[in-house]
Amino acid sequence: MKIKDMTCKEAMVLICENLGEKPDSPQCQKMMEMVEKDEKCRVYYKSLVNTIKCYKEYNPEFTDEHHTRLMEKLGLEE
Amino acid sequence: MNLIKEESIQQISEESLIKDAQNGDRKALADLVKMYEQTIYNFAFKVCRNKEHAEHSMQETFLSFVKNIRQFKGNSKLSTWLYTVVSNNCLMLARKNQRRSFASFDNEDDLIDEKSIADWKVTPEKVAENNELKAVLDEAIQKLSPDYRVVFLLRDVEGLSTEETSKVLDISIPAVKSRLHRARAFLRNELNEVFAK
Repeated sequence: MKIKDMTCKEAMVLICENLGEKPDSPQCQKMMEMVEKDEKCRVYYKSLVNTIKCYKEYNPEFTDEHHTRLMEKLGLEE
Repeated sequence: MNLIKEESIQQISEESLIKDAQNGDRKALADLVKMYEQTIYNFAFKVCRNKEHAEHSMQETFLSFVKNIRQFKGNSKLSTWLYTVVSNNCLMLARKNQRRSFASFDNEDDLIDEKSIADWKVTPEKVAENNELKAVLDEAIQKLSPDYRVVFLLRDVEGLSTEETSKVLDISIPAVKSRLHRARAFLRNELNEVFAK
């Protein structure tokens, strides 16, 4: 598929499929070219990256109590 | 010291701890548990979205680790082995407690909609300190079937490769790619409804 023939929707599918894959693959190169040249694709790409970041940033608290209960369960108390 | 050197030192020290633990050194075993307890708890919570279930899954994972440490041959990384066990525990628990229906992906065209593109007013940094935003994330990911959820979390959040994710879940590489693509598009759409300007 040539970049000039690619619709925004096709580029969005590529973005979903190839985000995080090896950047030197032809698919990723097409994707990044489309992201650079098309505003809609750029916004879509950014929102997808932020979706992943949101889930990365959201971590529960792991307390000393969690650790103590685990070690007791395993019979490895200090 | 560069990152590669640090990683290889960590790898050597982990290998030596595993050998000591396999020879019955309880301190080495405890050190290995400490190295991974938070990672495994975080991952279990992200799959289960429930603190009690996450703690149960984490405990079951390390019980299995302690019981089977002598059988660990080092053919894969210890983290990969732990992700395999905790993923299975979480998926079993999710199937046992399944009380809701999940998003269907029968019509893949609906997943990607050019009309739903907008800049977001919410940044990932805000999510970490805002309980309402966390609730939005919880609600969105719980609409995904656990089989899709776990692929998204292993690949995108924990940073495993497509191949590693395929091994951990014992599914094909095309299945990982297909589930990941659908999960990403679905979650983006769900968050977009609330986070878009």
